Amino acid sequence: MKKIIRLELLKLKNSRIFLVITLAPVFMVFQGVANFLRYYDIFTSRGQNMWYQIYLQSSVFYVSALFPALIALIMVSLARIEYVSGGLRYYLTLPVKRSYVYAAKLLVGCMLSLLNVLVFSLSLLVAGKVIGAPGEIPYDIILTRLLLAYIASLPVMIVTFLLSINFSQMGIPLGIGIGLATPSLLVANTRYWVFYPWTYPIMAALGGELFKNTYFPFVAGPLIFVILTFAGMRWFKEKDVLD
Amino acid sequence: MRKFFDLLSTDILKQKRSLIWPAIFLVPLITETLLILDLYLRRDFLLIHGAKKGLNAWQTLILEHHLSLLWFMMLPMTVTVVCVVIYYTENASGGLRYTLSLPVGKVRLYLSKWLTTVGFVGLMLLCDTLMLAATGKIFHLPGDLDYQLFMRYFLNQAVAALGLASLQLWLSSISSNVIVPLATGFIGITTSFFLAQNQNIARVIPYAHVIYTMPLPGENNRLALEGGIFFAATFLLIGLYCFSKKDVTE
Repeated sequence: MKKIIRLELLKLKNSRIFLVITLAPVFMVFQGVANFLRYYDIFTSRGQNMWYQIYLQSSVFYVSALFPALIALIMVSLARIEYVSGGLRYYLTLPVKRSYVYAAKLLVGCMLSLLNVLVFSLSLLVAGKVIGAPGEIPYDIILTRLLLAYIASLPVMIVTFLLSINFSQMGIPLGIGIGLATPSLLVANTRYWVFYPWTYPIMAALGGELFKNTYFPFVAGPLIFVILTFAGMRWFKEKDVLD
Repeated sequence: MRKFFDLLSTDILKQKRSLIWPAIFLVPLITETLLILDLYLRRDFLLIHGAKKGLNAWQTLILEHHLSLLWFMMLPMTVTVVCVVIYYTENASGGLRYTLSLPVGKVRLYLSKWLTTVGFVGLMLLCDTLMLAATGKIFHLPGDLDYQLFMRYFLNQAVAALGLASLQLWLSSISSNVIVPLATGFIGITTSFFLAQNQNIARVIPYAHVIYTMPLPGENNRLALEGGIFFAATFLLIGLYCFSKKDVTE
């Protein structure tokens, strides 16, 4: 299993995905901080916590748009490598346990998504220090909340992963992944957000009145992830080499 | 010229079974469905709120569609994906290598892909504008349908999208790795939302131009139009230059 994971990472070596997942959050924090500084007086006039304001400005579009889009991109990259070179067909004919291949790909996808969140968190920390945000570093906001958002986004990861390995045409998982992520900010403002897993990271990262009374994303998110992971694994095991 | 039209029709034909066709109809359809829901729930509130800002019902409809329904994000995201899919079709099947080895001018080839992209984006915008007008009619918005307003909205978006499409097509053409143009597009779009509030910065970011396309009082449409034309011409020329230097084996 370890070897397969190492191979999966090796396949991504020249794909520039590592560059993307480390640079994208930095840009996001940059624009968040730029907006914060632009409206500095408004954001600090009532003695608001500067760290929290930087976090808020940077994470609004990160959790609602960029992170789901990057998840789609990561999952598509993992699957595309196999489809472009016909590798999956070859891979499946080898004496390698299919469940290991499936699990390794999913694990690598989830690990890269986590790396993206951690870089975002680190960028917030650096940005806060650079602009001289006062007080202690609120790790409960810039780290814990983002890790919770990561857990809440597990359903998004598994859905885009399954779409990516199921369709050789990369436009489908990308289109569906991004198409479903775009209206999430709208749905998150309604009471129907519970039915729409793309809103879970938003609710986890940005809170909201509804979120205060519920831990729904942290129960439903992993649950959906586990169910779909096993369903997908079963399908992958039975998948025909020629499909 | 006939060769060029042959190339163009082949490029369109290549997308026959691709995601582009459903996408250019589905993306506006999803947005309009959400808009219908929005109007169904709070039509009167929106119209009163719009009137307070000095907007008539049709202008309010455009404002709601563009900002609240996140069309300013949907449109550039779709343009990014369309550009990538157009080149991906070639790279996946090795078709580009084959086409480049034929006695077909590279300039014509690139122009054909550019026109195909522009055609698809134009068609999507047309669908969206028609659906938007139909939505207004369904909800019996007061006043006659303002054709000029919708025409200006369509043209503003088309010009702004032209700059973006040229940039994304160029990025897609220089890299066989789809991650590069996709990631550039996604990062560019999402990071430009706040940065675009400063018009001087927005002027130099093609991803931000779509935000300035609403034909409403106080909106700086010139920024979108001038930027769209400038970046369309610039990136088309850059794209043509890079593509003409492209090696068959790359």
